[in-house]
Amino acid sequence: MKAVVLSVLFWTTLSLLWCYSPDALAQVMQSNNFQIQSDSVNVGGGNATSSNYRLESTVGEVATGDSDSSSFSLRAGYQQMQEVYLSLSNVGDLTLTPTIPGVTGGSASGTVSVVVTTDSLAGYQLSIAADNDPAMQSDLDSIADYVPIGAVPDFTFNYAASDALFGYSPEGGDITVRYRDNGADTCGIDTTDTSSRCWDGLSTTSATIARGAGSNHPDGATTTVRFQVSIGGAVAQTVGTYVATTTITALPL
Amino acid sequence: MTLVTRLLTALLLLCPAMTFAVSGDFNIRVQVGDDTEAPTTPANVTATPISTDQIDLDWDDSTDNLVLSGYQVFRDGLQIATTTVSSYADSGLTADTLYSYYVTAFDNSYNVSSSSVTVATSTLPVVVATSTATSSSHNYGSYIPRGPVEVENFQISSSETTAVITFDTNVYTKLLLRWGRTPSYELGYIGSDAYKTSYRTLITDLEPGTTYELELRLTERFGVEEYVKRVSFTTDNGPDTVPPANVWGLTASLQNDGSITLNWQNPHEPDFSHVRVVGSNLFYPAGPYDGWIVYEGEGTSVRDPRTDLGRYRYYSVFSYDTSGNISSGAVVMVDTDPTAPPELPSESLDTSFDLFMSDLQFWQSGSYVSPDAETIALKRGVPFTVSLPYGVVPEHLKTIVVTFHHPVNTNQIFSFILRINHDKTAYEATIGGLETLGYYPSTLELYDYETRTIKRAEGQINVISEIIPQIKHENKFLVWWFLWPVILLVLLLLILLRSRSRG
Repeated sequence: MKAVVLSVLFWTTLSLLWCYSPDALAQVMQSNNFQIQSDSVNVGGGNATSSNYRLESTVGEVATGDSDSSSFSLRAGYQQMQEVYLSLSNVGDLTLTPTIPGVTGGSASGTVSVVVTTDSLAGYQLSIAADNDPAMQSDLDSIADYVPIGAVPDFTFNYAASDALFGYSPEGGDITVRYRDNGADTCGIDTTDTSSRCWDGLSTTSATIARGAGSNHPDGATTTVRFQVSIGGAVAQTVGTYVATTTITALPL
Repeated sequence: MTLVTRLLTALLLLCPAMTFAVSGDFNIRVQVGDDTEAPTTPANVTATPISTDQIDLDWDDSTDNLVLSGYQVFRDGLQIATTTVSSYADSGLTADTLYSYYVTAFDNSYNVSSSSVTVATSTLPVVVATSTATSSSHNYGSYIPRGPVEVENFQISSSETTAVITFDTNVYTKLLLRWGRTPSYELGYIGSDAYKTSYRTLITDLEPGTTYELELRLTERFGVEEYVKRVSFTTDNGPDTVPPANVWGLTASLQNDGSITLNWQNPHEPDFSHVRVVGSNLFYPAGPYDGWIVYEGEGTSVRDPRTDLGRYRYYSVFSYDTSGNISSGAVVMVDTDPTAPPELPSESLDTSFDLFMSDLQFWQSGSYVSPDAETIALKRGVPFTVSLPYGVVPEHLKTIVVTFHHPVNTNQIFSFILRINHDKTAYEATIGGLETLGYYPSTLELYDYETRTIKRAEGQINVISEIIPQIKHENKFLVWWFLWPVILLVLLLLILLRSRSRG
């Protein structure tokens, strides 16, 4: 009888061991996609590294101080921001297109865009001036600056057959009322900003073309200035390359 | 406020303006008459032998009265290249050979400058240097190896579809760059044909949100050293353009007062936002603006009180995700006078093309579900996309509708519009997982602009249950219960045999 009991015990134990030895004991979780061998969680300090990066966890001071480039001046840091930040994007040289035929005359135009960024709570002011009078000159000749008919810029660029004129028209969200228009025929009206409308002439005296109210940091505000030279068919303009050296200035308010 | 205080205040207000004004100068040019002025002549041209087959040229920038267009490079009196930068690597040359070079500049009116000073230099000679230790030999020329190739400033800048790889090397190298989705770099390769020390390489046509393997192989001059770098990078995720799944279980019931009640189940997608129910008395609304808006929100039922809009009422329910993507539309039709003879447009079958249920493609969990004996087996509870390739049907069709009949309750019919996908490669509808196991009789119907059925195909899909891995443990218990009587029988036999042997 003892043997029977032993036999039953043996087989029962063997069977139970077989039954309860599933791989569930070998791991914590499993799915078709992942397997977690251990459910322990370790938390510790130090650096995190991988083949691609290294991270050292620190809490400290970020770089502060002044940064300067050809196009902007930056003052960073807690105390530094008590001063006014102002930047003006680089403006590259512009060649008006197309080439104006020497015999028949015609028009050439082009645009430059500048971005002014400031944290000045009072905003900024953007002005433009020419180095020379008239602005557009060659070694042998010059092209007259555009002069509006009235006190405000002309809605369209007007020139007669006997005229050779160089003018500009600013566009953008911050342009002054002088360069805004009624969408039909008149400038100096704060209604809209029609493209390629409201023409003025450069001068060696700065003319304010845009004024922003309040800080626009960090996005900045873009102002685009369209330039145009038009030469009438009756003008014997000297063949050559004409250059207008122009200065654009941003000022915090 | 005193006058002094006012003056001081005014001065303080002016201070920033005086201090921080920023100016920039620029030139505006215009040419009157033909531009006949040539650019300035390239100056300080230098020629540097780099290897047995390469000479590098470098010169100062020229200027032009208007726009400088580029430079022409001449070798031994023949033009060999045009470049927009003031340097050029002339490769593929013969070792130990004298070459002479000069450069000209030209503008956009093709005025060409005078030729630069001619410079001459020889490629490096081939000199066999034998290593006594290994008895191997290399053609070092007059070049002295500087040790292993080192890569500095390595950087990958990836966008949604492009990656720019930039790096510098400590010695002149040639590059072989391979990439792919797997370490076999199966997608493409770029090789440089000149030895350089600074690289900037652009890879295009990548997929958003995808991880790519990249291998960088640099061969130093004369093959003395080879540098291999393998990295992976992931492109930026593109905008979510995947439409959400349609609502499921859309039913419409006519109420006694003539109004219609619609019920449905919203998809379980995490970015599900809301549904819009649109009604029409003409045909299934093809889009969320094609008809009157019955409901918009996160609910699952609505009552349309309109009663005077004709006999047949068509409804489409469009689900939206948080990115604004819209599902193809679940549709249902209601006959407000079911006892009267049908007034639906008659069929006008088009025999100019064929349409089969097998033209439909099914996708589930991102994988194509291949048909098994003309039956599509879909997993229960898992959303799937049904797709009809764009070229299968004519472009002038008005509406494509796929319909599934419930396997048990045959009165339940669920229809969906197939809408052209984002890539315009197929008409698609995404449908939430089907919960009831069994065969769903299915119909694919094409309607023309007069809402007549011009094509119909029929088939079925089979919704099956997924095999769950945990069943393995249950099987063990199952086997145990089957084996237990056998084991008992064996034990009894052993006891019987033992008793007989004692007896």
